[in-house]
Amino acid sequence: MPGFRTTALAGAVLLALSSTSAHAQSAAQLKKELDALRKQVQLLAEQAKPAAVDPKEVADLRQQVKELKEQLNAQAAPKGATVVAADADQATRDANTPATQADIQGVRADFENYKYETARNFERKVPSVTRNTTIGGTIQVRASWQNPAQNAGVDNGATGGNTTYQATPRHTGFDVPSATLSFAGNLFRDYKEGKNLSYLLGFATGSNFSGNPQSTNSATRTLGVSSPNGNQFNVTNASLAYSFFPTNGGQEDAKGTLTAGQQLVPFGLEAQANEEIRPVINSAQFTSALSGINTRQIGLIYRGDSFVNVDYTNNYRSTLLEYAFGVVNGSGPNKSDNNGKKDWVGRVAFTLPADYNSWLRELKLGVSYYKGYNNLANTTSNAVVQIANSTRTGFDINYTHLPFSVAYEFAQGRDDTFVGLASAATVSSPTFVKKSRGQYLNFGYTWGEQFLTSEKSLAKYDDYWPKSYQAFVRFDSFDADTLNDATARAGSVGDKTFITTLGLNAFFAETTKLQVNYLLARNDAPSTGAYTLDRPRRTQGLQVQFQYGF
Amino acid sequence: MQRRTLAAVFSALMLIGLASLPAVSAEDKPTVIRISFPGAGTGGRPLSGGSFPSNAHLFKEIDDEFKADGIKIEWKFFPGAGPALNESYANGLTDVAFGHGDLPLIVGRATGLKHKIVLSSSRFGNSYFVVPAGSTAKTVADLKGKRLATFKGTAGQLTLYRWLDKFGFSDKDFRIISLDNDSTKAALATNDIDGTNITPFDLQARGIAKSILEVRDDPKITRPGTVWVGEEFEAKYPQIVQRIVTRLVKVAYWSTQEANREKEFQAWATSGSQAYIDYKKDWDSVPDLRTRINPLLDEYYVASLKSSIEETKKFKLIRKDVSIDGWIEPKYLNQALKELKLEDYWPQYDADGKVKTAARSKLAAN
Repeated sequence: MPGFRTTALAGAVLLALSSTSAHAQSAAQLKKELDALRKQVQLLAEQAKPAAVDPKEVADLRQQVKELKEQLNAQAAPKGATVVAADADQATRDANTPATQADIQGVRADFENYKYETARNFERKVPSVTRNTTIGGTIQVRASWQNPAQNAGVDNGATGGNTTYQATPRHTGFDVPSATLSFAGNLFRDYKEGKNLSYLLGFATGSNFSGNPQSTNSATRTLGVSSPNGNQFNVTNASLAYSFFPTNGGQEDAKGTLTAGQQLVPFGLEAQANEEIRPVINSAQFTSALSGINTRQIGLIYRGDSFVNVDYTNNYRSTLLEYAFGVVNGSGPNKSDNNGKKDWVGRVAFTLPADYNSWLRELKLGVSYYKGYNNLANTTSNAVVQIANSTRTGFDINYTHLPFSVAYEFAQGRDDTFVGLASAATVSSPTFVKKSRGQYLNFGYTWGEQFLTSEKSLAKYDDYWPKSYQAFVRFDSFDADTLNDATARAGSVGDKTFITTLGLNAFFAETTKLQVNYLLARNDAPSTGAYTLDRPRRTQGLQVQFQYGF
Repeated sequence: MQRRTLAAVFSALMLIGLASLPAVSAEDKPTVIRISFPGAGTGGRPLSGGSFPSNAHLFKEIDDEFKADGIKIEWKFFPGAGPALNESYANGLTDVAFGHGDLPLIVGRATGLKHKIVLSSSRFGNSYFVVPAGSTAKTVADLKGKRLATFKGTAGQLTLYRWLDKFGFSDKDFRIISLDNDSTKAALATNDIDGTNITPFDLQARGIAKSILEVRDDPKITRPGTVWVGEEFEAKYPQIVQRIVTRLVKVAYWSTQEANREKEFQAWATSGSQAYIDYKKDWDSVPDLRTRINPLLDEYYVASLKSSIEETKKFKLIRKDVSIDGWIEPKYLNQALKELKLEDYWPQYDADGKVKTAARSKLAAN
């Protein structure tokens, strides 16, 4: 019986094969026969299951079926196509299957649909600009607490505007201290060497206070006088810059850019740091106390570097020499010249030429100088009676070797000041040089990869951003008059503030961070020996701020 | 009151800080192995192609190897290529590199990165000099003074410099600009560069570039890639390193099988950094995949590494000497070859890139 089954099976296959070879059949016919044959083989194999079938015969039959399939493939394949083995994987089959005209037309149709959709969307839904433009912005949302309470009429200490003078004392507050909007792009792109002409335009929310901060009396500061600036939304950056050096050659090229317009002043570290990179919520005191460097200025500034060192380990670039110098009108942002003098600024910084893996990496020392001229006015007539010298000198040292970072900055101001009362000042009133001094020391420690280019640019499918935490402590002092001798000058004491800030920044998305700062501010004693509610002996505070950008 | 408040704030900060610290395992195996590729797919996709280590990722071989042990594999793909991988390792964020090019490997060691070379990830391969479709240049000399692109800091930079050297030029004779792979293709299309080294077939099919010169499997132009393990990781987890290497050798064996040629080309093409047609045509001249897919640390590998060190110094890309003493650690590879009975499966090459010991037949290996 088994012998009969085997013979029948072999007979069926041979019959099919012989008929195949005997007639030049079409592929369809061949396929039909193959299917019938497969069924027969299956049927007979099932019938033969219990019995002992000669494995060699089955193997032979399988080989014949395989050859038949290959014959079918060969007939079905278009001219020029490679015949693949019957047991080849799908990838190999795909690679050896030519596309038909219908396939190509299908792809063409898909492309046409895509082009149409893109063109329509572009026309109807995509905003356009005349020149290449990047739009960005930063917003801060803050909650704060302090003890003792902030006295009525004292500003809320917001850093970027929106300063409010409250009518009654308060311990807590909610603020949006800063909201900025920026536009940047190329006016002319030099494809050959990258000597581009670019522009920058920025806006920030301005003062929005309801009281008059110029008033000397706390109570009258809350009367609701309109902001003297009258602006809610001020221009911050308005500049165009030209690169004199190629910018597309690689990191080993030196840089040199002339910027014209309203811009940050190249003085020290903190005065140039924008909200995005500054670790501490409040800027160092001297950056807001020393005129000239505490605001943006309008003028011409050249920034460049030379003696470039590139460590190809990770394309780490350092420059032995960085420099910036320029001339500005000295009146501050959005204001024309207010006298016949120009202010001059210069900065030089040296970075140790070290490899990326060296402990001396990113050790930078800088010196800055600002020569300005202030208008001294008779406060009775409001007439400018003298043009006074105002100079700023600074020294800074920065060491950032993750996870550690240390920054120290020193700045000193020298301002001609009337010896007598400004209300009675004349062109010949004598002046003295008032020296003011500010400095801070910042220690930071970072966990996470926020500041590593390699890690934050990792290829990911999702909206990946390495979570990072940055803890720091900062000691910041400012003395508005360094004489500190009440007998010689009463105002020279009671004008020094020392702020210790302990903070933690959590970076949890590309442009968003949560900042928590604990502050302890201590004021020196005034000449009268009595502290006031406006200027208490010490104040402690807590600030929690979300900062996000787009 | 103030002290209590200060203490509370300090405590909170410390807690948050401690919570953010990476977990340290007390076991003799890592909780995670961080494996990095010096590259990424087009558009920042976490994919790689063109080598057997890529297959280890694409076909989840390493994940499977450690699945039962509960060891997580953290794959890292750096669009910043070899230099970015160096930065990651320098900051203790990578354990193993799958296919580092010679230049970033050498400058990393020159500046103090400590790793052990355990495998070669690739070797040979064709190299093409490509210009925009409308270019009239016929030779490298025709491009003198023009803009050539390469991704500086990567193996591609050395390859370009070797090309220039071969034709009697140096980088000073051209304006060399730095662009990554995707930007180079775009720059060819917009005529922003005048020439580069890139696989040209997809660009030619799209009509935006053409190859003017081609060098096929010249061991003097291209250099092997490298799989390395961080020294600290290797010292701490030698058994884990052995398993990684053995699995990679298995993958390398699979990758050399002719039956898998199309499957791997199509898998590699998913990254988009090279099109399928580029792999297909570039590898057409390779009848035996073992020519390029070869994990051995043979005489050719060692000689190539030494040559690359000399070239890196010659082109002033490093200032310090680099010694290869103690750098290459072949014991894991030898053990894997022995365990898998593949000791004579791959051809061994001499220092000049010529076959020294022919490979056994694939049939015998099967």
